[in-house]
Amino acid sequence: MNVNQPSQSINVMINGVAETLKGHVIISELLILKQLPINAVAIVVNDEVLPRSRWNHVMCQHDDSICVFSAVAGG
Amino acid sequence: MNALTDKQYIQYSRTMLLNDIGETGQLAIINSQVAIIGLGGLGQLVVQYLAAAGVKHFMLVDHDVVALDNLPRQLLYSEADIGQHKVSVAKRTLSRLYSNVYVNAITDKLTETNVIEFSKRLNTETLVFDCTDNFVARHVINQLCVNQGLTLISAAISAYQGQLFCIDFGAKLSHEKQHGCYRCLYPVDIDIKQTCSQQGVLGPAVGVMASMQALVGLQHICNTFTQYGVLLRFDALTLQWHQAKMNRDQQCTLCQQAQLQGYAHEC
Ligand SMILES: [Zn+2]
Repeated sequence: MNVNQPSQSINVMINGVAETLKGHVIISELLILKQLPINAVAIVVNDEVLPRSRWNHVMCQHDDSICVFSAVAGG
Repeated sequence: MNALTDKQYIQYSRTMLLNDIGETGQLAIINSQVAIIGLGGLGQLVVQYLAAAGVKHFMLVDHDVVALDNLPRQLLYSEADIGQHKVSVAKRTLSRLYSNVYVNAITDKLTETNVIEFSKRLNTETLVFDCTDNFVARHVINQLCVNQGLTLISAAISAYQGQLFCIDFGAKLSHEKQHGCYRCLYPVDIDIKQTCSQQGVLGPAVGVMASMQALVGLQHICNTFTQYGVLLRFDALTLQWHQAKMNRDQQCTLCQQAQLQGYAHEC
């Protein structure tokens, strides 16, 4: 009997780079994990903007394509 | 105007050759009203493309004057214009180049305190171009467009990153209200440090975003635009474009307010 079940890992793309995540990771945790500035970015998951109030409620899924980018205001 | 002159038939023939635009679309362009806020790198090109396409009614808003370091990307201005208000130079040049152009040149800074007064100068048909260079102004313009139910075409660029979207806040269908607004994308407390003056930018990269803004604007006016609520991001280094569907943030107080007002109007 294997009591040391390997924690489930998923593959995602973050800004076009393949990454493997261990366990269940929500979007806000991912930002911390990747040391991305939570207060300075917007997030697109699978070609849809994920509003900030959802970041604590959405779990990264296998094959997700996640883009993290800064706000741009110049003109 | 409800018919083109002979000269206009020749002048705008290449636009009208597009089947989905034709004479009806060209007349819509001539009869349209646009407000361009910010006459820097983005706005100065948007206004030139629109005027050349036949737009006659402009409100141009910018409190800034022409400076030497504007010239590599702001092709509407020359060294002789340095120190003059950008909107005044734009008005003078457009009036010289195009016939029957009406330009309301405003040198007041649009702020949260004068936004209501400012909104009285616009009518419900005014198409708003956000061409500003700072986050505060972008939020004020967003608020103005959400509250007045206007169409907003917003573009921005810093360094090699450009962003663009168009939202019709006057749209009646419920799925069209799900795009949210600028505040849904970038909450007001977001940290932002990038502006052209701090980041640097290449002139043609600004031109790409401004051309897209003008293109979207003409399509909206001609009823051929379909990409409302789509955020386009341009990487001027790799030349790649990325698209994403915008979504309303259920916690956005501005969208909530607008929805409540909408219900009040319907009652
Ligand atoms: Zn909103």
